[in-house]
Amino acid sequence: MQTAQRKFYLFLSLFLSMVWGWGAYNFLFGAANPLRVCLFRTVTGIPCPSCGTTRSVNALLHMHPGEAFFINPLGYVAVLAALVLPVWLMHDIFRRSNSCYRFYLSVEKRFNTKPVFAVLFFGLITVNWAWNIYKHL
Amino acid sequence: MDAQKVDMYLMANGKNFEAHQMLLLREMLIKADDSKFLALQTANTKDPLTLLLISIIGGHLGIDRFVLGETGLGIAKLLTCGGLGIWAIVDWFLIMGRTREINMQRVQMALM
Repeated sequence: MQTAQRKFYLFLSLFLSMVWGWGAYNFLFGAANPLRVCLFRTVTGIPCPSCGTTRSVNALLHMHPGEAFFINPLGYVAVLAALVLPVWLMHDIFRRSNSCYRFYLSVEKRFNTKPVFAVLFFGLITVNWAWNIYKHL
Repeated sequence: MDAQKVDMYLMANGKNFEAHQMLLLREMLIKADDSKFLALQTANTKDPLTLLLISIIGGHLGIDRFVLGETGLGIAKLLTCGGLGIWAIVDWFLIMGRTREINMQRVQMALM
């Protein structure tokens, strides 16, 4: 169990480094050298459910919340996660707590045991995906 | 459990486990009670090769992680364009090992 927890925190640190690195690159050089990283879109030509999240975050950083919502509402989730998770990670590291890991397990358990959460989540993601395709993101 | 029954099970499902775990798995199965055999057969182990195919086709949307039962990682992968595409590619190399690891955990749970 201890190993699983350690792996989770290591993975979360790497994941957040990637998210912040990607955010910093796009904020500093994104306008001049835009990078397209979506394999799904490159292969199929159809945007994936999370396509446009970076553009949405950029719009939010430039104080255009309406535009951000129109590009992809997941931008709000990304900003929230990018702000809250590092603070939570630091809290857990310095307090030697495992609240983030316990929260992750409880969310996962809820998804696996109560189908209503999964149906709601995947329903929203599907609607967002259909909207992304309709918008030709 | 009967040694012949265990060997039959390992012959049919051996590819679902890591090679270095086979000896330990065999010992565990032989020590286990006969009544556990039904639980063992319904342990829902996955074929690593199938998971590799799922990872190549739908890994970008996190489908491979959802199939393995790692819902949290699946959601993270789905919401980040397959971890900016990097995680999706890395998983092509990791998913078979991870599947075998999870299969072993499921068998251990079934035998408990």
